[in-house]
Amino acid sequence: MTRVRRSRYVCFFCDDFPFLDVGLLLRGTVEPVTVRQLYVLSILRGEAVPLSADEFDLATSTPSDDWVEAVDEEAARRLARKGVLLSDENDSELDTLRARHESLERVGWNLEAALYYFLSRWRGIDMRRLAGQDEASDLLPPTDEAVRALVDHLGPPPSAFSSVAAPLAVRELPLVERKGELYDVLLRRRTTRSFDRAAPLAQWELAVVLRYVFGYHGYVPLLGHVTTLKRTSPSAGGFHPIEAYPLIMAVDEFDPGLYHYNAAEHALELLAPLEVDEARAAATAFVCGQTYFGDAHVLLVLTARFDRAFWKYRNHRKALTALVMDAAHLSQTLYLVATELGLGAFVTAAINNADIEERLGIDGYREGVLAVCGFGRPAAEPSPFDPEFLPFVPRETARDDVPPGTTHE
Amino acid sequence: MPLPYEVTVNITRERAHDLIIRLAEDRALRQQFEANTQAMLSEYGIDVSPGTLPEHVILPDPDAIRDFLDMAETRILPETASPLGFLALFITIGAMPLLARDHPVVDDSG
Repeated sequence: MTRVRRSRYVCFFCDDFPFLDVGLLLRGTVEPVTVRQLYVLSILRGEAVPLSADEFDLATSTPSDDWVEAVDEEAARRLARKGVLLSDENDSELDTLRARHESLERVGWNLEAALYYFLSRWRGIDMRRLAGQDEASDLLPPTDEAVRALVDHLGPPPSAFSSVAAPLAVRELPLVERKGELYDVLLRRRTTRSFDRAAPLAQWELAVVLRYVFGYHGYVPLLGHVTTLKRTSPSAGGFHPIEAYPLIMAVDEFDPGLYHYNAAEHALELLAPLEVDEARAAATAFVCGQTYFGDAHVLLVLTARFDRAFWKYRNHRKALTALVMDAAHLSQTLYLVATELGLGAFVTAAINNADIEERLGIDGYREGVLAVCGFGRPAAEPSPFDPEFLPFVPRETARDDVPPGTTHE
Repeated sequence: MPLPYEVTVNITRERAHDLIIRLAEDRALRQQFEANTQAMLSEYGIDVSPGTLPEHVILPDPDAIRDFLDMAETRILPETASPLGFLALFITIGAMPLLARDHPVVDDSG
């Protein structure tokens, strides 16, 4: 007899949308009706799945804290395959879903955070395919016509500037100018989308980036163990649960391949040797076909060790936000260190998380991918995707650039 | 007076959108639909009790279905509202790739 229980990693919602009256459709008539559809957001499957009223009844009448015998085995199996019920049946798909549930519980995933994280992961997305472009060639920038069509369709975007409608007072601040290396680097920071493939990075450049962005520079012992670490970027609780996995394509004295940065040893651990072309193909696939990033000398996959972060922030609604912030801080520090070295950097959230996790051999539950950064030697010519920035002067620029129909009050 | 038929619909917005487009544009699917109605409906998560199927299924004129789609398409599959939709648009502004509909993730670097 099959035993089942309901996973607590599900949410239900109901959605209405227009459809055709099926009875009349089969009799030659178009008549709009409203369909009211139940869905389950299944974290175990990472997707929303439609649910019938009977399935909803079965789901809500099955306990989540106790295993019970399935009355209707076929219905229970169907609901288990949708990631709603857990089943003890010997079946590889159901085993996988049950193992995911157990990982979520063991690691201490909060329901709302897990819902967002696991339903926003991508697999197999390629922007070139979605844009109707050749997947074997470079991603092309949009035509002026396409941009015009977009603006025609959506209308102009909201103003670039924000101000309070009726402030009690407005006090202008002095237009300060600072000199020095830090300010110079901050002002030179920008995203690079064009890399010089003919000029590999030196090993020391790779080492500097890893040491000063992802390396540790201090620690605090607690009960005899290293617990709190210090990097050049902040981290919630001092846990620094973000790991870096370099995908090396062009660094002197390094074979191309997928590595893990072991910050304790300041060393690279080889996970998979690759030919250069294989590494570039993997890089482009990681970033959903953004070929200009696939041209970088080094990609850095940023993962979160959820089990370390959630050890303290167990079932915590804010823990995922803190992890995303950690990754974002590291990407900004990467930009600054790369800029100081005369290199270019980038970061992107448009990534195929699930595919990358498979390549890295991580499960996505204990450790999962949050973002991809990269860096390399910039090419002389910018990418056609690169904007040309004009100098921005506070007050002057904002006042000269008021879109028609809007005012700054 | 409603006709006495029993229909259970269990379909996502995306599948509903796909079915309506195909009923308007795909002649082969229309023929299959008229010849093997119950199986085709079932494939889309729609169950019609056999006793309530008409003796001869006749689909509406494709233009009538197109008119319905023109009127209702953005409500069936809103560009950004649906958490369920598959990617149907890929648009870019300037240097920033933007995926619309189901995948509102922006490469927010600049």
